[in-house]
Amino acid sequence: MKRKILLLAAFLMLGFLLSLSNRAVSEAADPKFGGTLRIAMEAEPPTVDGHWTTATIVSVISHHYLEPLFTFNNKYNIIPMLAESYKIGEGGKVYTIKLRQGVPFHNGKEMTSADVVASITRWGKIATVGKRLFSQVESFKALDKYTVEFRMKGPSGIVLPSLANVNQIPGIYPKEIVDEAGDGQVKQFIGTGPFKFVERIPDRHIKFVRFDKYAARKEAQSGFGGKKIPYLDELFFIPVPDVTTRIAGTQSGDFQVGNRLAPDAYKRLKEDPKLDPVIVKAGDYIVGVFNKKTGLFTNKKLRQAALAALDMEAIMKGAMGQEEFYGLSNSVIAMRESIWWTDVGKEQYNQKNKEKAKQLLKEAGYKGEPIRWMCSMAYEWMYKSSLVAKQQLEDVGFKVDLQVLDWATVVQRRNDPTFYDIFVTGMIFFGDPTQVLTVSCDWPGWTCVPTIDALMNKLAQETTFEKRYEIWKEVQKIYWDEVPVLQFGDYYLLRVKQKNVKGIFNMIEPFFWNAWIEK
Amino acid sequence: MDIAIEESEQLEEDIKVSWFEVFRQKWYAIFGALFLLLIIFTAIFAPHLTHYDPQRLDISTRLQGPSTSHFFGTDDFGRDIFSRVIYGTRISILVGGAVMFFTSLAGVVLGILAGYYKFLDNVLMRIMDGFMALPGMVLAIALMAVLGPSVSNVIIAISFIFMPRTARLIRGVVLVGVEMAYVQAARALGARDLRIVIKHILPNCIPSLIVQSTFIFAYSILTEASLSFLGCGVSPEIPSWGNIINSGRLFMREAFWMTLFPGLAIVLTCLALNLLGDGLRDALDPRMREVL
Amino acid sequence: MGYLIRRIIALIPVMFVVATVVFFLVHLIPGDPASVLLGPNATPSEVMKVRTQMGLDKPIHVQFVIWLSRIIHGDLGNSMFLGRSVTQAVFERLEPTLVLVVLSSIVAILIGIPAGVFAAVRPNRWLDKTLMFFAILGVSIPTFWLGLNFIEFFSVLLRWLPAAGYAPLSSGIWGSLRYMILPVSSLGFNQSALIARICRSSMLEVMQQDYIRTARAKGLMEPWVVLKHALRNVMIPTVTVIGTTFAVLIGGAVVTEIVFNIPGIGLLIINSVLRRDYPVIQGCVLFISAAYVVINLFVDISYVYIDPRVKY
Repeated sequence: MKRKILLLAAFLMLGFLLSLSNRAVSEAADPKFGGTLRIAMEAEPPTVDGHWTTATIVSVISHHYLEPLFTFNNKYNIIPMLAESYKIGEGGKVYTIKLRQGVPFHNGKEMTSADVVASITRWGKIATVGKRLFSQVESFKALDKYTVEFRMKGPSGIVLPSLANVNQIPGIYPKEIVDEAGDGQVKQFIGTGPFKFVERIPDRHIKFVRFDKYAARKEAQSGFGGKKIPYLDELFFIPVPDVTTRIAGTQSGDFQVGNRLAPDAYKRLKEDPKLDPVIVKAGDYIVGVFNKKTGLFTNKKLRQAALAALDMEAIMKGAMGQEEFYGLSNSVIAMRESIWWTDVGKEQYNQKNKEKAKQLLKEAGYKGEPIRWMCSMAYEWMYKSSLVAKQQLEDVGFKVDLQVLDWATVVQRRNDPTFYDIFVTGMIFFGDPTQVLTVSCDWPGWTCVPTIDALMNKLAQETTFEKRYEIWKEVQKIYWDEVPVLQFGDYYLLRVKQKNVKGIFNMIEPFFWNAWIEK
Repeated sequence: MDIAIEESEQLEEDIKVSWFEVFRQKWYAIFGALFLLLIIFTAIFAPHLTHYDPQRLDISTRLQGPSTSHFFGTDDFGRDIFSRVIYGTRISILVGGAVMFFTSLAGVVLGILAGYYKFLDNVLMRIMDGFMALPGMVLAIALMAVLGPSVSNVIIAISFIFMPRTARLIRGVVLVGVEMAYVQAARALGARDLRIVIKHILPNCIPSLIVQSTFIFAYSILTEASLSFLGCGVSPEIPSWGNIINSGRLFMREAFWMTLFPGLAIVLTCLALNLLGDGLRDALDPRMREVL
Repeated sequence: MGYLIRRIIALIPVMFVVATVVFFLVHLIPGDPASVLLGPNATPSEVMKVRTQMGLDKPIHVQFVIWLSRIIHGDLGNSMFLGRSVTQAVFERLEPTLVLVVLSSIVAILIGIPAGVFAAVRPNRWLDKTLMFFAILGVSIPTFWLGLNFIEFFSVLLRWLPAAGYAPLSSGIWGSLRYMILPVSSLGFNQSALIARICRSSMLEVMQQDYIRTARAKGLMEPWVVLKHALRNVMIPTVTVIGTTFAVLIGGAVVTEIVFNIPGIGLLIINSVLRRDYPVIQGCVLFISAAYVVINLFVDISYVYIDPRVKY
């Protein structure tokens, strides 16, 4: 009798313990609806119109209310978002895209092909990537209520990557909103996304609330796509341009998420029991862009001399401070997971060869003219990498005139070849090699190399990945011989969140659907 | 007439002797003067006081604390903070001294013109009032944005802020001086304006000017530090005290020495200047209560 | 009364000078608002289109006249960055700056005047020496450095107070004050030192005068003497300082707003300079200058009430 009771007790105990652990597991696994998230951003966005500008901060915020036809999954492959499916016909000339049905906008209206045509046409007029796409378009129209068709001038490989563009989103607005905007910015921020725009008080906050009627996809979440669930009640994006204040604010609990923090704070944040710092490899890298239209650096030997002198490890260490936050790589498309990654030309990268540099300097006929080097403190790493590079170049005989200007001045002056010989900026994630700026003839720096231009044209027209990849590798080989820019290295971003905030935080841009606060 | 002038000159002599006596007795003024001399000495002989190049980077030694090889530690580029603070005295002395000089010059010229010639007074003072109504920091930031970062531009920008105040001060003194009997008499006698100004008006301005100048020197150092801290001052790689604090801002926990030592340098230098100014003011004219 | 009218009329040329200086200065700054708005990859034709929308395609003196005529009608213009009129932007940002400046002034006065008075009552004794030591320290410490140290100590280390930001008064007085304690302390410390010094020296000067000595000799109680006679005379220079304090505080407020990320007018001006948002910069500076000029007018008028000897 006693033994039976003991056995029963043991079973009950076991059952109780199992149920406890079950509950623990399910509690950890079950996201909860509710809560307000305060996110400290690095700047005040100039607008909330997702089509209007390439500024990353605009796309980060706009992605919450605005959705594109296609997007990237966690392997940076293209998947459909508002599109249901697509067909490529006539050897790459015709793209027929079927839209999802029953997808509501925030104002209750259903998304149809009329909205898609209006929105994408507008985007095609405003966005750099859009303009390049539409230069190849013969016609773009709606076939029926839920189908649109791109008819290209020739076979094209850039339609889907363009429509999946992350920065300067080809997002879908209701047709009436596009018409209302005319030539200017949209006046109402209405989309199909998981969150609804509520208000924008400049330099104070931008507020979103959950869109209860959001039509989520069925597949599991992956990257920017898949099933997006808005668990949080409210989102506040708060501009805190000063990085020290941003860091202090996350530590003191004023914000639950801090974006783009300084890497030197990493150790301190790791030790903080309330916080979770996240290192994000977003495919960004630092470049010094040569002015190849006029001046000293029209001379290829001089550019090669500069490249030879540089110790990229020292530059990146100086720029980022902490080793976890940079990588040495010569791939022009820096995202390691990307299918386009390649290390062709790596012998030219990180030569740290002072003798060779001095030799090339002599061969180039350099007479000690000062090199006007423009950079900005707008991003710390722009200035810091410049400082280290300047010393390395001066050690081999260059004379460098460092000009630290504010961002607005740099952005204006880099379009004018009379102002500079080299300027420093950052490259961001490129969804497709045709979007790479540093090999383009009309982007500042003016990389006008006929062989590159010819290859890039072929790239735009080719449709199979294998063939495109080979062409791209050719381009990168020429890139490392021509040295249109000084590619310093990849840099990673530091984001921090409070430990009780759950979700995905390591994509190239932060997003807050599928994020929740655990009590 | 000449006797009256002679007597007043003798009185001035007497006053001159006694101001130094008074000054000497004030220990704080002496301290201020000596510390200032120390700073000037440091500025001039900076290269001999440290063997490090304040701009030399060495990433491998970044963020090290104070030690025998780096008295004030290193910054996030491995640059020696001690030498940067030492060389920073050059910027502070240069900016403070130059602003002091230019505001005095401009202030004296404008003040005399306004005080002596009534018809210019209105116009000049309206313009000065306009400049004084503009918030100082904002004016400086806008000027720096236009001119670009450099030491000379900082000097120009800060001078614009303080010049109207000096002009007002001098004008006040001039207005009083013009009423003086001997000046009226000299004018009646037909003496040339320039002579009157130089011989009689100007000397009266000097005590106020000297005292005001020490305070302007201190304010210039503080303003330059604020501008550099905001990123609107001298170019960031140049070692000015404000720049060093700005670059150390991120590291206040990990490397407090980056903000501590330049901050102390500013405080001590301004303290010395203020003490000196107080001493001079008490010695030269206890009745002066000029508000900057 | 006639004086009042004259003073008000005198404001006009002053404001004209302010308007001219700020307009041309701002337009001299290199960089272009349209490029900043559109982002770095905009083409020249797009930039040109936005510049026309902003009215920047006209010659500069024409732009100036247009702007002036609008101001006279009370229209400060519109900001494309903020998506609202400049007047609206200024009023949205007014509260934080006002709270900061007013609280700092109050703190400065509440500390500075008593400090100056007590120091002067028994000059050169230890109280005087101690108070004046702190006072002279107070005018030698850079406000931003003090602010940084406060944040590091009280916010990050002790977690007593928030590091940055602002809560509007409407959300609760105590909540709003919590954000203001550190910024007001750093700004107010400097100002209280200044006021203390001025107050003390004025007091000393007054105390030397015969009628004070007489009152003391008559055996009137010390505090009575001080309060009744000396304070009155001290008020004029002190009130003058309070007036000029406002101008200095606005400048100090700019730096403080940046250090503490307070969304006030100072921060708005800085951000607008970085964005080249011309209408906002011009509008804010005009507004602040006008406020300064008006406050000084009030200061001058108040002399009549404080010191009956003053007549205009």
